Amino acid sequence: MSEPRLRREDPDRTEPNRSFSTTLGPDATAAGEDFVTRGVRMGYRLVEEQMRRGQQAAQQASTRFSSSRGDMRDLTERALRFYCDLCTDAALYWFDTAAAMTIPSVPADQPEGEAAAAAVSPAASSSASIPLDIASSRPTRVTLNLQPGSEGLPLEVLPVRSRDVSKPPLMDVSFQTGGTLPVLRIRVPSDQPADLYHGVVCDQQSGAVLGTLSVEIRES
Amino acid sequence: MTAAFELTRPEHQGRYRVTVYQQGWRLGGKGASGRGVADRVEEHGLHIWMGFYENAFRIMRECYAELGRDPASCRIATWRDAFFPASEVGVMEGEADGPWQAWTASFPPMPGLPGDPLGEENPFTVSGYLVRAVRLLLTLLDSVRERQGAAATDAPPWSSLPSPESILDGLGRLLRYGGLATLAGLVEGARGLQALFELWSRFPPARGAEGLLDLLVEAFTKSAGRLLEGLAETDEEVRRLWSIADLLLTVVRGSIRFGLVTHPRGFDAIDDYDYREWLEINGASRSTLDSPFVRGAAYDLSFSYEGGDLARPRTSAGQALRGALRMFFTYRGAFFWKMSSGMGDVVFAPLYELLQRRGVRFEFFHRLENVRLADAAGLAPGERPYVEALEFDVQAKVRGGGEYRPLIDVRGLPCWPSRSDYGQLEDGERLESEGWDFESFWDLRKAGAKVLRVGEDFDFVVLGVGVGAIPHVCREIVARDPRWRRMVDRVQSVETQAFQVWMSPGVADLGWKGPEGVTVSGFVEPFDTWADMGHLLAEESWPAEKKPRSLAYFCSVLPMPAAEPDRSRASYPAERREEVRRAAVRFLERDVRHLWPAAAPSADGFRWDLLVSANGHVPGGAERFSSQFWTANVNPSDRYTLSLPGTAKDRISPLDNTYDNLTITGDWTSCGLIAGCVEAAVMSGRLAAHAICKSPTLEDIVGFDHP
Repeated sequence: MSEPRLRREDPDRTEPNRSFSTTLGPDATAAGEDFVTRGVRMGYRLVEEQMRRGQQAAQQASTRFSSSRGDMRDLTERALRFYCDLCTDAALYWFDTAAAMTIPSVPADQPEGEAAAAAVSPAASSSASIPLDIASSRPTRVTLNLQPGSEGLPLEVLPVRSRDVSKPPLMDVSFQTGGTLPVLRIRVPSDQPADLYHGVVCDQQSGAVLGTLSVEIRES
Repeated sequence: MTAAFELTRPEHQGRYRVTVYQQGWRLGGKGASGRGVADRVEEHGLHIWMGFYENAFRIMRECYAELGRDPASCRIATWRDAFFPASEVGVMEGEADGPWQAWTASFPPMPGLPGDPLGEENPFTVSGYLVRAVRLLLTLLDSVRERQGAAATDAPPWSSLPSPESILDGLGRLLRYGGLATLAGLVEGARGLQALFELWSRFPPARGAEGLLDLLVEAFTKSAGRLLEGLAETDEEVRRLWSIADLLLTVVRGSIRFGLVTHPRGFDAIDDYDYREWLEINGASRSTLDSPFVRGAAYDLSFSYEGGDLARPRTSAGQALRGALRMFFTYRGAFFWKMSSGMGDVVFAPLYELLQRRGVRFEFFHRLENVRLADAAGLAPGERPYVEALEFDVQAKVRGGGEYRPLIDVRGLPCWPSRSDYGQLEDGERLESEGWDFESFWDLRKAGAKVLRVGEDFDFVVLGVGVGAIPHVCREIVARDPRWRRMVDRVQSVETQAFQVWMSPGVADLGWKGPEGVTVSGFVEPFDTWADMGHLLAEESWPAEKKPRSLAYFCSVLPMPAAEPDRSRASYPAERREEVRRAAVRFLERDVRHLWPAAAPSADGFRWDLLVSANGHVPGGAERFSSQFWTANVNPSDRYTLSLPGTAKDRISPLDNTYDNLTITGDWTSCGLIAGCVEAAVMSGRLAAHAICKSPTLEDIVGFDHP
């Protein structure tokens, strides 16, 4: 009887792994780790980096900028105006980008149509649990991106502007303190043009940027 | 050859016995070269290795190290003897009737050498590329600023990992300098961009960040465009720099908009787009789209013209971007590496010698005619289809039945000849006098036939022909398997043409104003690419009184007929070769003056007396061109593999196990790098070896998992 024909074993895969998980690099793969192990390791690495950076930011906020609150606010405002003047297409987004790049997203969406009357309600999906007190006669969507741990700090919202510089900013936006957590209070004037408005959230004392706020006002 | 190299590594302890079956007398396929009269190096075309060919360099470095040639007796004994940095690169800019201007640059050396082990950091991430793109943008803007005499900013560079407050500090500086309306402001803005992208490369972007970055880059682009396009009207150099800057910004924006940083398909996510189309979608200016930098680098150098039709430039955006980013941002040592002799001498002769030493057998003059599948009806339940036999035409037999000895000695260096050694062949005188062309697809003459059977003559097959040959040699698989049919329909290849001229003056004396040793593309068709290959003259054996002082290579696509000629048309290669000769003569008479004004002092002539002939009889006028070398690469297996939009998914991987004793290899397979080049061929060969013996590991194949 002749020997059986030799066959190739099935490969583990036939195509490149082009996903960004390959950012781990060859050092991990050389050790023979499987994909899941690599993914978990990458996740831990990123979390550790985020925590380290958060600690650094908090430390800097409480020391370096404690005496320069006015400078930082002024700088933020001036830069914002600068980009508005420079190119309306990109107005406001510099800061949003800078902030969003360094903090995890913490959405705080107000369901559409539920903001027709003033109310105090906890943000539906906010892990930061910042309650929302909003008064608007039209459907309004609020998105708050805030650095973890910021809820314990005195928060301040800089003017919330539209990309369209002809539209007035939302002026009545603030964080109210008194309870265990600050409450984000928003009052939308009845004649406020429908649009998407952006603002920057700062530490009231240090002026350090802690996050961003977006308010989308739709037509009735 | 790579697969044979991998399967016979010493660590496998002889587990795999390999036999290479080769049509004709030499190895190398599209990379083959030969030595002609006066030991002239004669090639299929221009072969230059890029500094990112990590796998290819690694194999050659290992090959030379194991071969251990004696430097005292062989002038190309190490890989550093074989390859040398060639950093002078350029594109030509102009209209068909001229004037043409050279736009050359010398790329700086980068740390490391190709083939070195990679460091801890993975260089192949999209976010990493974006950082490098913005860094280059910054350099370009700085050079524009210097040209304009604008003051340098006194601001220190941004930290490599900025904090939000440092970005704000930078913005403060930006405000002081008056914003992006000035060059200094633009430079600062670019620094801000760089800081953001460096941050992004370290951390995954928060939700929405991509859209915001897109807007930011768009704003920057508009500001830069307004300023630089104004300056470019009076400064040619600024116009060129802006063209590159606009391209960089377009790539950055497109990468953000299309979510390429984290896309699970990497750059394949934009494979359906043509490169220029994708650039246009993402806002590239018309002048950038038409610039020689795009046309020369992305289309001409890679023969990216469908069917060889110059009116149909097409190349996958995904592959063009992947290739360009690797080319510009991951090269090591030098941007280009040239070979110090023909590719056959530098690559395939040492591989042949080493493999032979390892016990690999070579069967030359074997033309594969059919990969025969086992009868599907005879397969056992659950058994996969497999290759039952390989059918060859034996083109010639070796006298005495021994092995053909293919190499010749050129002053101590083993080289391939341009012609077979008929003296070793049975009835060789007759074959020579009848002009048997062993490399022609259309020359069906043979001395015999051979059938190899599975289990008796082989266990596994590594099929290493070009994609153009697949419909012919794998006709049973193509007829039976829709995936293979789709692959051969969609993954197209194109004929190419090339010529070489040896001249008595040096390139500077020909009137060339640029650097010596340069490689330029984007020139007038039909020969859009020129390389100064004068360094090869030292390898050749010219009489002292005739020794040329320059050697020029030209190449480009060759427009193809609507249908591949029938195999009975034996004259087809000669007909095409004559077309190339006429085109080359016309090109030298009409167009080369834009490169070498001294070689063609009048608008309608070329100084044919500049050509150096190695023959005794030297014809005059344009007839003198017949003493030079030219080629039409028309054999299906020799055609250049295109990367047409939307075809990456149609390629089949060497790892595919549909036929469980067959694997494929070549730059046309799905091997991670969808490009017709040496590196793709080597990656594919390593994958083919992995398919058989699980070695090398996939992670060891550099760039296979590239986004």
